[in-house]
Amino acid sequence: MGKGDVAYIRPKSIGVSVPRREDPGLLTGRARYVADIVLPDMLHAAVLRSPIAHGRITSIDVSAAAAMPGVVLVWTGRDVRERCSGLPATMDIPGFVGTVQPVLADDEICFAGEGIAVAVATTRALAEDALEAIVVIFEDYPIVGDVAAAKTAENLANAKVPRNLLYYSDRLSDDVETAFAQAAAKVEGCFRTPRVNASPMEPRGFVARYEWTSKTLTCWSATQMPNLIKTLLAIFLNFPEQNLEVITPFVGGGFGQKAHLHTEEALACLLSIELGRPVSWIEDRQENLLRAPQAKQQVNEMAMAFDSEGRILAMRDSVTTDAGAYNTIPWTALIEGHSGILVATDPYRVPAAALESFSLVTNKCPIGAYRGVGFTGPVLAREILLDRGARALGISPFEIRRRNVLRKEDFPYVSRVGHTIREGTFLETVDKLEAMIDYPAFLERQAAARKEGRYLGLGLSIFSEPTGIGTRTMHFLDSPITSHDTATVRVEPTGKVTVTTGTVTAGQGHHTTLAQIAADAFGIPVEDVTINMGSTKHSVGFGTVASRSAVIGAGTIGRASEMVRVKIRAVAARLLQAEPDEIEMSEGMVHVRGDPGRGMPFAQVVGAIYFADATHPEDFDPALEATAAYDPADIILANGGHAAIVEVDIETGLVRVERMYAVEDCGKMINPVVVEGQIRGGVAQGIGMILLEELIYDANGQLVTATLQDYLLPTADDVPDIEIAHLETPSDLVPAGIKGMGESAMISSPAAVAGAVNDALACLGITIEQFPASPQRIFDAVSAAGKSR
Amino acid sequence: MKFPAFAYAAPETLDEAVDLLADDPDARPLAGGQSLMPIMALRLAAPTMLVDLDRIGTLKSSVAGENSLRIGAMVTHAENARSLDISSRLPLMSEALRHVAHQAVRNRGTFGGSLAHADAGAEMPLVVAALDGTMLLRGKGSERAVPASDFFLGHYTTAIEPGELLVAIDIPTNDLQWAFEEVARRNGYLALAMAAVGLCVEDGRCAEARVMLGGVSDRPVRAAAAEAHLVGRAVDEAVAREAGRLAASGLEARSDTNADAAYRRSLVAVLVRRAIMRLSKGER
Amino acid sequence: MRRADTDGALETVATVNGQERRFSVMPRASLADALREQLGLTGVKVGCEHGICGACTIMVDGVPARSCLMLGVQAHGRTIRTVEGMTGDAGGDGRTLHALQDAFHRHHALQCGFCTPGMLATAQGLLDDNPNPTREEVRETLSGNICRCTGYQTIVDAVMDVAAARRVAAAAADAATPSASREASTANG
Repeated sequence: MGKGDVAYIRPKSIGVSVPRREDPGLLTGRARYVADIVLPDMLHAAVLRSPIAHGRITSIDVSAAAAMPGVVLVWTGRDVRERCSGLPATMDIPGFVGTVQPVLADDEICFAGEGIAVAVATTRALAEDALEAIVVIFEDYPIVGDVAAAKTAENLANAKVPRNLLYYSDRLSDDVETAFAQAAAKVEGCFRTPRVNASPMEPRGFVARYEWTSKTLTCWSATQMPNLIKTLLAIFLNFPEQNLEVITPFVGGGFGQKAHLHTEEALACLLSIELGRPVSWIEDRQENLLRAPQAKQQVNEMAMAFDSEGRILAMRDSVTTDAGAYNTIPWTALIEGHSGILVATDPYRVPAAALESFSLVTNKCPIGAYRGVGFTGPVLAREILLDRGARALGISPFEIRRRNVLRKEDFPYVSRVGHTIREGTFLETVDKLEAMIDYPAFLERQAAARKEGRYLGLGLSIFSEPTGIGTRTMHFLDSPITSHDTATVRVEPTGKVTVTTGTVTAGQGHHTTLAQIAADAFGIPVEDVTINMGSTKHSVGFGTVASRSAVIGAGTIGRASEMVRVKIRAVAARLLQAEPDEIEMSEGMVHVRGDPGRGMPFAQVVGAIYFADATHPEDFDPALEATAAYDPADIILANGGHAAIVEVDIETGLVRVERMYAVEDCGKMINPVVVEGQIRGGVAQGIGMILLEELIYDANGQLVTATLQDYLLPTADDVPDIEIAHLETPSDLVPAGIKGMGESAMISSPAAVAGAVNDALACLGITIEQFPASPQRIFDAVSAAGKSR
Repeated sequence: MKFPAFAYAAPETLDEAVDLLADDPDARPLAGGQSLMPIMALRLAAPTMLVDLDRIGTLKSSVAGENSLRIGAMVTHAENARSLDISSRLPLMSEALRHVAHQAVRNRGTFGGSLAHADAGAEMPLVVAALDGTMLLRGKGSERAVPASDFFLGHYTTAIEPGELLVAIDIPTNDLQWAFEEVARRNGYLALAMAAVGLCVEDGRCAEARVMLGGVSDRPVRAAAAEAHLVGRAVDEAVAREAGRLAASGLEARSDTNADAAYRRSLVAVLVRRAIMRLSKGER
Repeated sequence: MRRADTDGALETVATVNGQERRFSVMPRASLADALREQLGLTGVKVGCEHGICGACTIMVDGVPARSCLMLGVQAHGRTIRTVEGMTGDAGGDGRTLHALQDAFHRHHALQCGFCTPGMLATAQGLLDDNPNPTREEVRETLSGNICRCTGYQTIVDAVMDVAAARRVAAAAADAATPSASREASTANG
């Protein structure tokens, strides 16, 4: 059996909205997060962060800080460099510039918020007090404040990155000029998506405990990738991996922000090793806004050419990513714009495309992964341009998409980038959205509102989403990472099942959904299955990221279950006097296929394997525990669409989202209510990104939006009810036909909301290409158009 | 961040509180904490002592007089929002209170605390200025009454001298009909701009007008030109629009990442117009 | 006068989740940290420490309050209810979910759970104040609690569900109660 093999699982519990078993602990406040970890002798760390965006430390004096009450240790970058030379982040592709980020900066400082010293004390408050006593003298260097400045290369943001360029790719350069010259309609725009923070409600945190007597390092991390950080910590800190454990407690949201190895995590380990006591680092919200990996800031200069029927002739996109000062581990700057252009054409037939990406460093906090990663920017540009093309040609936005989306007869379709697309309900999605919205009724309402001086707009977005991301998808995205995931399935003597998985959870409900998979693998009730996760002692996995956990869960559990099922079938066949390949498991029974009466209870067969040697066939290994890996054989594509109806008040610039719609095709859903929860949460984040959220750096490279007063997260008032419809195209690469979908709403709903704002203002000749579409920006656009009253 | 270290005292009487503040110029009174504690959490302020006013009963009592209400400085926004005296006699305040933060903050945040904090984007300073309230201050061996026009001196700046405490606010009642309009980025957040408009209409004409602006400058601003335009006129769309334009014209508005001066001025014109139109249609 | 120096701890006595609790805490400790660290009530969540996100919302003297903006020493003489005390409010052996907790569970109104304790307190305060809210009123009140996972819709569904169930129960109780005591109970409600 190979790691891409697909075990057979018949859905029974899969497809049911089983209520989540993790809820009672969360609802009663009894579930423990990393900030709740209290260990004997534990100390608390606080990091001093650079107030300047670019420069050098000329002197740093920690003597006063070290002498303060409760303070046990104060380190600078120099102290740390002796122990760890930094965290290297690179990608094995020609021309890519890797970077090494110091755990604490001791030479060049490259962004405001970069850690430059750490104080460890008996309480966090005392550690913070000590930071105020550290005296630092800086020498300022010129600041590279944005990608425009970075491109000129007049100054370097990071001395180790020549010309501020981490990576350039002209990934695809078809001849598009001919198409543009012949086009019946050409549209173009320069779309700027904002720099945002994933802002999980729980900020980051890490506890390290080094036990000197056994030379073991136990860590608790609010992470999405425990095994990855365990291996990387072992390598970067030169620590024996077999003595390193990373435990993942309950995590309060991740969204990709917690899918990195953070400098503070390495720092906490070094501190604990030095002190021989547990060290806890729990960041607060300000620190999170300042220093947690940021995301989404791209400039997409995109153009599309259409024929007179609205069919796409060509697309051109040049995307520039503002990567901040360093690559982050493991994704690097490629996670943003560069990944995005690789899927920019996917739902549509695009005969010719010219796609290039620039990934540039600036003096800002480094970017990393955030739900939907680099896909969001180009999708936004593309969908708004489709709307513009529709308007130019007098076609409806639904019709222009119908004329261009991939259809059954196109499969398999090889995109210009080389992505082979074999399935997808793109056309059905367009039709479904149009029906959900009742487009003619909307047009009437829009026209009537305009007469009253009110501006309603409709935005659409059709998307495809690579899910279940494994090695093949990572390679397609020019990130040649090999992913490695296993699950261990054990059938207990009383016929219950325990599964140990490398997947962790940050709210997605994996304790429940993976149990549903395992239950169906053996045809037993979901209550008879328990999922063990959260310690690297017993599990191996790449991480809970990239819409992969349902797929990887099903794949690994499927393969491991099959290895155990073989044994159960063998003994059952003997007991039932049938052939092993006639044996099936369902409804808690092990029986002959098509003859449920000829069977035995699951627990009875299992009991026989454990306790009744006489029932075993010859050369029988009775171990009912197996571990298997799974890595999808190909890219697993989910698809769907979003629509938004907004009202823009052109007098105040305020935008209200009136309604949202989502269509989701993620194959066979494990737990429909969980799927809908992922969509609703992602839509809220999409609304936030388009209307509210923006990390703003001033001319001195200072983060102006460093509190939640200024960084505006969407609230219950900002997010309307969301109507959701489901389609189902099962994947034949995954047991039970399951696909992933966790990022879908952030890939696509921003485009729908942005498109709706543009649609509302199109009649005034106004386009909005910079987001968030804040009241100030709308006011400026309306004023410029001379339409304000 | 964690709060910086400070001493704490919870006096039982006003005199005790005033003495503590007089003895230590770096001590601060602690009212509801909804404005002070976030500032301390960001380590932008580090008082040596917090003097908790919560036990001082006299600061929490309100008295309804014949022509005015005296509201204790430590009365919470939630209590004022529930007050029948206020909803019937100072309806502007009731309307504006709906925009103040969120329920949990209104449960603890106090009227006096909000006024003493004097955030330019806060609703209560605008309300008190619009209603010509008087702030009653107590210091060690001193008492004085400061009218709103002399009390709000700038963003986070009031006439309260070191060692003084705001103890109560006197607000006269009036015969005007009031409308309050606000634009904020989000519900409950500090305002980008606010307008409080009061009109008294007799025989179809405006006999008295009050137009007060908040959030646009560093303190509440009276739009006298707009008021003058309204008085003596029948209020219609054109009059409202002109009043709005006059309110915004020449206004020195503040500028920040959320809103520049031009946008704020534009908002003023819109909000004043909308408030006047609501009143002219008898809407609430 | 109750007071403490900068370095001095102040003995504080409060009723917490139905029990009298004593703890000693420095003035600088927030109520959130005091409850978490002195009393082990880690169900009190700290999301921003500057009073915006609402995750720290608990019940203080029967109404929702942000525990990150209060001091531990201010708990003195007060009644505090954290999320750990909600099952106690539901009665029985303390292992039965409160109606709001149960509704959140049934409606999938939580995912990561971090905002949930604060949401529950705010929801409880809302229903105490306004037993018959509209969806818009629920959204407006909940807008002081930030959730990043759910998109809010299912939280609104859960609160509306509890409000409806209570109205049904109240109507049934009304129908079964003689008129004099009915007046008394509506005065308290």
